[in-house]
This record gives sequence, C-alpha cells and structure tokens, in this order.
Amino acid sequence: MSTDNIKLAVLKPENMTIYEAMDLQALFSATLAAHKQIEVNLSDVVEIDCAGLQLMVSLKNDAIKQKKSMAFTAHSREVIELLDLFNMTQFFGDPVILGK
Amino acid sequence: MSNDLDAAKQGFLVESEELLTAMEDALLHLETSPDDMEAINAVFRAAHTIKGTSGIFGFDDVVSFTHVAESLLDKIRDNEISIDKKIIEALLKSGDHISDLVNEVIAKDNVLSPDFLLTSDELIVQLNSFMHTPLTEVVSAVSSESVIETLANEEVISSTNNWHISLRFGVDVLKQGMDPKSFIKYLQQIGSIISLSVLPDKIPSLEDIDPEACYLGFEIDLQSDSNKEEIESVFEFVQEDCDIRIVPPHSAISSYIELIQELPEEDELLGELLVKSQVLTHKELNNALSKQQLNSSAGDGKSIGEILVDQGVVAQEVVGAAVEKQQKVRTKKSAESRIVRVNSDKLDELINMVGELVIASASASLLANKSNHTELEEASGIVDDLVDSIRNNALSLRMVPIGETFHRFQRVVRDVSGQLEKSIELVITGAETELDKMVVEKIGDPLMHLVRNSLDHGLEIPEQRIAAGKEPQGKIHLNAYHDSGSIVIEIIDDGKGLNKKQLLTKALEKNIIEEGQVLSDDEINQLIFHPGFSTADSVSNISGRGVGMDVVKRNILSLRGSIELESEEGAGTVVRIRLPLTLAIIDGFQVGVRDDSYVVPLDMVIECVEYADIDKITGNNGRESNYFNLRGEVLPLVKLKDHFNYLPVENEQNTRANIVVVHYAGRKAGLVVDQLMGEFQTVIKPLGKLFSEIRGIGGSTILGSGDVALILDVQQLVQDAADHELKQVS
Amino acid sequence: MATILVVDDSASLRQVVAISLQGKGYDVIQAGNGKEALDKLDGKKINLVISDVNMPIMDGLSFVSAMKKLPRYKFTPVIMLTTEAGNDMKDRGRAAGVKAWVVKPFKPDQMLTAVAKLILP
Repeated sequence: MSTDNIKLAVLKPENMTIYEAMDLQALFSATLAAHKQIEVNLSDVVEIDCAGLQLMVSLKNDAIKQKKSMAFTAHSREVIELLDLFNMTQFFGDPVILGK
Repeated sequence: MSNDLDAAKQGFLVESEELLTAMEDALLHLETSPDDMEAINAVFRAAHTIKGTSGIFGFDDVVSFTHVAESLLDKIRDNEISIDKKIIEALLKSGDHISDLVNEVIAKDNVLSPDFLLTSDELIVQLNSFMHTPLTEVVSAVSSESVIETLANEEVISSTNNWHISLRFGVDVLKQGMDPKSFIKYLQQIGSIISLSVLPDKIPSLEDIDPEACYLGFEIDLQSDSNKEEIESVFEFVQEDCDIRIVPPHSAISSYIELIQELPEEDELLGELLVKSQVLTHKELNNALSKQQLNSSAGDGKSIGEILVDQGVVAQEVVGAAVEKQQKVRTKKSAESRIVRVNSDKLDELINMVGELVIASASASLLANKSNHTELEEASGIVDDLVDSIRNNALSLRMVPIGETFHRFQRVVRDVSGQLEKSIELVITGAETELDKMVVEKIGDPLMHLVRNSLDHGLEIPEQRIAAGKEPQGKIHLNAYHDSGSIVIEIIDDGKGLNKKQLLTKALEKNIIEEGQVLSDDEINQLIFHPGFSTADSVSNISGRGVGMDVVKRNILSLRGSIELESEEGAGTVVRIRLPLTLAIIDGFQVGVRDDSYVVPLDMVIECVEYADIDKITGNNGRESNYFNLRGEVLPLVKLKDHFNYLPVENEQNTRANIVVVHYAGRKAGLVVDQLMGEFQTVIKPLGKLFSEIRGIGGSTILGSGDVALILDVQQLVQDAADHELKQVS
Repeated sequence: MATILVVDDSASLRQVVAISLQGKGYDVIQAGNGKEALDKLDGKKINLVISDVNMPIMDGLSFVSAMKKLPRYKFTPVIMLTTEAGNDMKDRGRAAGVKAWVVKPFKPDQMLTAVAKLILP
C-alpha cells in the first residue's frame, strides 16, 4: 500500500458481510490512516448486511471527522437495495446511479 | 405433492414403530437399572420425535396424547420424578397406545373412533397422576395491556393510523446470524412501511468498532392490519437481547412520550423523529416533554446498551461452560448402518423375477449344451454363474436377523412373569442369525405360543424352585443357529419339564394311545403335539387360548420346517424348531424315477452311492429288508417308486438304480432313485391344495426343459422311514 | 437461492419440512443427526440451519456448537426445534449460539413463517 498521503486510494471490496467484517475494518482503518482521498467502489458487492453497512457509516463518519474526502461509488444493485430499505442514501450523500 | 406426503406418512409409520420398539426396550431396561440416563433419554426421544412429527402432519390427537407422556418423561429426565415399576407399566401401555393411534390416524386419514380417544383419556389420567403438579396454566401478561387501555381513556389520543416500532438491536444479533435487514424485510410482508429511520449514532469509529457487533437502532412506522402480537412475533427470535417497543395506532400521546424517555437516545432526537413521522405534532411533543420532565429524574443510570453488554458477559460464561460440556460428549459409535428402505412387495416381485430368470437361464443352458456349440456353451456358462450370484444376492436382501423377533419377547416375559408372580430371566443368543423375512413373519405366532407355554407351564414359581433346589429365578433361553440350510430356533427353559406320567394318563383318556402300548420317552414327549392334547389342567390367560401345540406344529410344517421337543422331568424343556432359510429358491439335486423328475434340496444330500454296491441287510424272513449298511451305519431305505405307488413294470432292472443319502435333523435315510441328474437351482412353487395330502412332496418346480419336477419333502420321507422301522419292530 | 440445512432424526418430518420449503423456493439439504449434518456441510454455502435438539449420535446443540466453530459457518443462523422451550434449554442454546426456537409440534406454515423472518428464498 502506498504511504503517499496525497494520493487517492480506490478500494473495491467484494462482499461486505459479517464474514468479511474483520478484514474490512482493517482495510478501511489502514486506508484512512494513509490517504487523504478515499474512494470505495461498490460495484463488486453482491452480498451486504448490516455489519457491512455499519462499517460504511463508520468510515464515512471518521473521514468527515478527519476532514478527508471519502466517497462510495458505483453502488451495486444489492447495496442500493439496502440503502433504499434503510432510507440511508441521503445519509451518505453519494450519487447513486441505478443499473449497470 | 400429495404423493410425497403419503410417502412421508408411510415413512412416519415405520419410523414410529422403530422408535416405539426402542422405547419399549429402554423401558424394560429401566426396570432393572432405573438410573440409566441413556435409557431415559431414549424413551424421551421416542415420545418427543413422534409428537413432533405428528404435529407436522396435523395428527393433533397423537400430539395431545404423546405430549402428556413426554411431559412425564421430561420430569423424570430432570430428576423431579423417579421412575418406578408403575410408571414403566403406564409408559409401556402408552407406547402401545401411541402405536395404535399412529396406525389408526394414518389408515383412517386422521379420524379417530371414540374408543381410541377414550383410551387416550384413561391413560392421560394415569400419566398425570404421576405428575403432582397443579393444572394451572400461566396466566399473566394480560394485566399490563389492560392498564394501558384504561390510561388511554383519559388521555389525548394520537391521530396516527400507524403502528410505531422502536428497535434497538442487541450487540450480538449479527454474530447469531440474524440480520436486522431480514426482519425489516419481513415487516414489509405483513404491512407497508410508512417511514423508517436508522439511528446510526451508536456506530463507533473505525478504531473502536467491533466489526461483528450490531449498533443499529430503527424507528419505524408501519401500516398494518396485524395485531400487536403478530407484529411482536416478527422479532421473536431477537426479542431477548433487543429493546423492542411497539406502540399501537391511536395510542395515548403519553405512551409515545414514555417511549422517548425510556430509549437511550437524546430525547430531542427521538422526538424529532416522531414528529417527522407524524406520530406527534410539535405542540404535543413540547407539551408532553415539559410536563413529564419533572417526573423523569431517577432511573438507574444504566443505559440499555450497558445492560446489553452485561448480558453479553453472562453469555460468555455460558459459552465457556458449554465448551467444557461439549468435550465430555461421548464419541458414541454410529450404530446406524446405512439403510435404504424398500417396500417388501417390490422385493418379493424382484425375487419372483429372479426365480423366473433362474428357470429361463436353466432352459437356455440346457439348449446350449444340446447344441454342441462350444462358444454358446461357454457364454451360457457365464450367464449361469451370474444368475447364480444374482439369486444369492437377491435372496440375501430378504434375509433379516432373528434378533428383532426374539427381542419382542422381552416384553412378553416381563408382563407374564409379573402376572404369574414368577421371576423369569430371558436370555437371547444367536440374535444375529439370519433367515428369510417371510419366514420371520410366519414364525412369530408359533414362537409366541411356545414361549408363553414355557412361561406358564414350564417354569415354576420361586417357592417351588427353591424347594426343588434351583435358583429362585427361572430362565428361558431363546437361541438360534444355522444348520445345513436350515435355521434352528430353540426355546429352552429350566422349568419342571414334562410330566411323563401325566402325559400318558391324558393320552389314554383322550384315546390317543391304547392301553398297554409301549412308548419311548421321546414318543411320550411328542404326544404333546397331538391334535386335541392340552397339558394345562385349566386354560389360563397366558397360554392355552384354545390353540394347542398341534397348531404350532402344523404352522411349522407348513413352512417346510419341523419341531421337536426334549424334556427332562424336573430339569427343563427344549423345543427345537427347524426351518428352511428361505421359502423361495433352493439349490436342488435332481433325480429321476422312470420318466419323472424329482428334486432333493441340495443341503440335505450327503452322498450318492450305486444301489448295486450297497451292503443290503437281509431281514428275518431271508428277504431283502428296507435297510442297508453304509460304512457300519444302518440306514433305512426309501424306495421312491414304492413310496409314490408306481405300478411295477416287468423286467425292470434295479441295477442302474442309485441311492441318495439324505439327512434331516440328525436322521439319515437313503432314497432309491433310478437316475442322478445333477444340481440345479430350483424355484419353489407351492403345490395346490389338491396335492397337499400327498406325503413326501413339498412343492413343485419347472425345469429348464419346461417339464415339471416335484420337490421331495425330505423331512417327511425320513420321518416315514423311521416310523416304518418302528412298526416293523413292534 | 438460499440453502437451508434441515436436521432431524425423523425422516418423515424432514421430508414434510423440505417439501414446504422447496415450495417457497428454498434449497434444502437434509441430515438425520448432528454428525450427519456436519458431514453434509462440506464447505457448502448454508444460509440457515433448522435443527432438532434431541437426536441420536449427535444432538442438535453439540452440532450447532461444532458448526459455529467452523469459520465458514460461524454466523450461520440456526432455528432450533424443540418441545421444551424452557429456560434451561434456552441457556444451553444461547451458549451454542442459538436464538431462534420453534416449538414442536408445529405446522409447515409456522415453520415457513419462522424461516421468512430470518432469510428470504
């Protein structure tokens, strides 16, 4: 991983369920510590549950606190479905584009 | 679907029979070792499984009866009640009744006649009497709701049409495999979600978050026709660890205020949410908050979150205990072998077809041999070998160990010894001995009769035994073993044996023997099998139900078997039943008499000798007797030609005749035949009633050539030869 | 497609449960006891386990504890079938990681409802 603080980091996690949660937390923390700009591309996420959602919230909140730029992009259908169900699209404020 | 369901029902029938047998065995075992948890568990499991499965089929009558038995067993398992003879007795009866119930509901499509229900009720009373618990059901939970209602009358009512649901999920729900997502989705199935807000403020920073814990809370407004219970039940699997509040539509405003204050979030935040979802108006909220602020001071200072964490700690301790316990779990060997259930009709059909195959292949090989075509003969030889192994395999499919049949007698011995106040031990050996399932089915009744006979007439009461210098506990021993193509079943008791004097007197009374007739000990013993002979002085409940030993004998003979009895006065009795292993196909030895073919079961053939070579014994009158000397052993001869009344033919030469030496149950005889034709597989076809009177014929078979051959009843022939000998002597 | 592992020593009960679940579009794997169930997991994706408690060879709670030790099935939800919803049993279940209980006897519809709360087909 690059230690360059300026560079944009793009993460492309696959599933975001409780089974992956430990790894995701480590990945998110490390990335946030090392970069000022983070993009999480969600296009490969087929399965997401509340554990994944919580980590998304946590990352978003931390980034805001640390005044870093953070965006979720390319939401997969499953992610959109969950955000819709929970009325959380607004919370993240990321542009969500339907369909692929 | 309905076919599958029918199949499942039939499966349940078989399953429950097995479970009930296991239950019975365990109960009998508990009589001697009432502390065996394993056995108590087995009994419990039987009731438990039958109840559970009955439920899914909707057999409510079975469920309600089994439930009572199960409750009793549960209390026994928990050491609240200790098991005793009376309870075992009642549970044995209950097991029988459950079996009846299951059979009936499946046969009658879940309709029970009043008789069954009456028996259920009687047994339930009995079972309940062992449980000294009052019959009160828990009556609670009603009170709190009625309080709310009375409050509602006096207070301002919210105008909202919607249910309001506040959810705070427990930290462990995700770890338990529950996803709040699925509950919310399920809510959508019972109503429509008007508004939903996630409360994300409890989610910690990436540094502090436990990625597998749940920090989510929801405020939901739901429009639904369901009642409170139904909505609550959506969360039944998480309710323990979660804070779930459900406020019905049109509730008093105060209940919302209560909600706001009791939940861990900032009052304002929640209040705003409620206003947003139009449960409350701003005015209502402000009024309520100020009014209630005075009252809301105390509280135990512990947030629900904290309490939940506390609960998490408790759970961890339990986890530790469970791990420890799990290590103790016995590594019990898997007793269940891999078994495929097959309808026995299908099996019979298969065996029938194998029978036909045997005949057809015999015919093919006959033609092949006649053709002098070497390759064809070889090919047909291979087919013969294969058919032979198919036959053996097919027959082995129907072979079952006799153990199960023997085992049934545990219960009989127990019940009967109780009734007769005798102390009797049942010993079983040779349980693994296999025989044809068809034979097993037919041997059950005769065996039952013989065992009951031993219990009733053979074994003495303890006082008599002690007086006779025996152990007070009598012993009945069931034994089985294989012997030259037969299975031998022995019923051995160490009782008083047959009283020969009594037998003779009775036989005279009944004109079975004549005054002055001399009988050997063995003959006296066999009198008991004579029609119309019953030794019991009075007909008792246990045996002598009008079915005599003659019927037992007849049943066994009809299976091509035999029965004999040895008895020593004062020491006991042995009844020995000998049965063919299978009723369907045998290895036969084909012989010829003139132009006719006969088949001798190969198992019974010892050797063949030429008639011309034998050492004939000359009778008293100087003529040839019906005996010959085989290496120092004198054996009777049975000339089939004479036996079956063939008309003498002039100039017929006996020189080419052969003797087939056969044995049955330790007796030997020589059968005189014209030709020896070799071994072949024989499919036994029963003879019609017309031929049933012909002595010495056990069945028929079809030869490869299409001709019919008669199967010799060696047992009968040997017996006749022996009788003949006796007549000659006397 | 969600896959459900049904573990019960009554083959006919399993069959009825399987028929109704399959009717709703779930995939069903069956096992007759805990030991067999562990064998059937075989790394397969299992979305839900429905297991009886009282079974020969390996009971339901031992099975669930053992299953939860496997990383692949650590968080697999479990519905436990039991006739006794007593606290003692629930404590033991909680220790084994079980939260959902369906009390026997139940009708197929009751099972479907319970399942629907936890997973979708």
